[in-house]
Amino acid sequence: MTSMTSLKVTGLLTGAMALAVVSPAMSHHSHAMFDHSKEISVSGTVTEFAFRNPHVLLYLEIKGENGEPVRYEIEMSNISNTISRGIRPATFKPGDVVNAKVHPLKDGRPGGNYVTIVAADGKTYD
Amino acid sequence: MRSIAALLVGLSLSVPASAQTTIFTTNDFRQDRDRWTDPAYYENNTVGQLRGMGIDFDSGGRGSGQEATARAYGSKGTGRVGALNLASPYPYTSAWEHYEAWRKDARGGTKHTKNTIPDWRGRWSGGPVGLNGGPNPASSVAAMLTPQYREYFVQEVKAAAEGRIWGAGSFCLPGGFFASLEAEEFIVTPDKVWTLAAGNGENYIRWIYTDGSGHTPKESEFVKWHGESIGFWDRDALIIHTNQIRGWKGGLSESTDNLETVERYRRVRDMIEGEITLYDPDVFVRPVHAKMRFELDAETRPELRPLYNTCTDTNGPSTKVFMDDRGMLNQRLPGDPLYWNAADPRPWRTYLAESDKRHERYRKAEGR
Repeated sequence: MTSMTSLKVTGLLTGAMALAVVSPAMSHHSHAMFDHSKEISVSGTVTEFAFRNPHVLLYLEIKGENGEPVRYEIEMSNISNTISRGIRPATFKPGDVVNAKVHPLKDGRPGGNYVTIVAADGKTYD
Repeated sequence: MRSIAALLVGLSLSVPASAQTTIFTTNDFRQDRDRWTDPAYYENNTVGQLRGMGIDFDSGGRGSGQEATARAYGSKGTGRVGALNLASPYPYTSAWEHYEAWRKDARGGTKHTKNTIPDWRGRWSGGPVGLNGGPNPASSVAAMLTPQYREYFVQEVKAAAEGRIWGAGSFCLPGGFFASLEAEEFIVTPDKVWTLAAGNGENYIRWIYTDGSGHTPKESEFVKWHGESIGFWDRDALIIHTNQIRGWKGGLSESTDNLETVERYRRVRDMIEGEITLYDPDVFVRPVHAKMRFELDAETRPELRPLYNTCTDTNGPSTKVFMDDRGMLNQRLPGDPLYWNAADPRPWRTYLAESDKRHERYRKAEGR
């Protein structure tokens, strides 16, 4: 299994997420646990892609600081918003190598809130 | 960010210390009761702006969703006193009196047939407008609440601004009556109306009986998540009375089991316009009123149809039943870690009390 890690702060590049809310999409939970002042790059190999509500979740295997495998969870939006970004259930498959930009968890554990992602075919979803 | 805000306030020596205390600088908000209805106590922030501080990041309004409303902790707000009137314009003191007066005005109500019933087909987006206080400063919401609920409100918005947030959806608990008001579909028949909505973690349904059968007998009443709704038509307007609503968070602050509401809806071209009046004398110093507004959704892509959703799909499983150290199915009991007390009428109180204690320990340890 190919995996690589890149955890680097790229600054305050929040970007404008052109994300169309199609339904009322009542907010599921606050994003207070994510550090929105940071945007980091996470590269790794897809292990699972849960195309489900209330949040679509992408799991990667990345390399930790000492080269050990680490499971990284990327929390995405709900299904409607995810579809509106062009992401479909088959967009990410186990074994795909992807690169994502996320707002990381404030406490440093391996998880973050999705900002953009480059899929295995090179296409960028933002 | 928080310590900088406190430092700046501390350096402003020209104002008496007592007048400087804000929700961001107080050591004990319960000692500030006389300031809870002062916009300056909240630095003129609206409730929405205070909640946006939970993310503690100034997005400048860019982005979407929570990022668009994110704000730096302690920043100044844009609340305008009186921007939205939260008090009911009606003279009624109870929801039933209100409902009966409107029914009398409608001479008992319009009896529709399949041929005359209003056409509310389609998918809609909307709900209450400004029921969280809207553009008013948080002090305007506090002023609508009785002393006990005013304290609950200040505790809750203070914690939310600090990122210590209790949300029903976060814990896979029902959104309750106020969430059910964000209807996406209205199924209208002569003797019953259904409203449906697909939240990301829960689906919402209301049954509104317009057949004249009335509420269940008093001896059979019990509180329900969405209450019990009856209604009548006044020509093309639907009027609804709801009682037996389980007390929960939502709306202006929170509600008790005594909340009763009166709603009125009417379709005007591609809008359904309406209003809701809330009667809950334990919580509100006077009945609360808000507009309701739904827009016809132009989105018709099949892949974006409403879904049946369950919160536990990516947020579960339930913490009540679990696998114990023996690998056996077991059930948590009072006193166990992660025990969920189903009889707790205000679980956010339990959460906030523990959060207040932990946060105070954390602040002291960090020297904040």
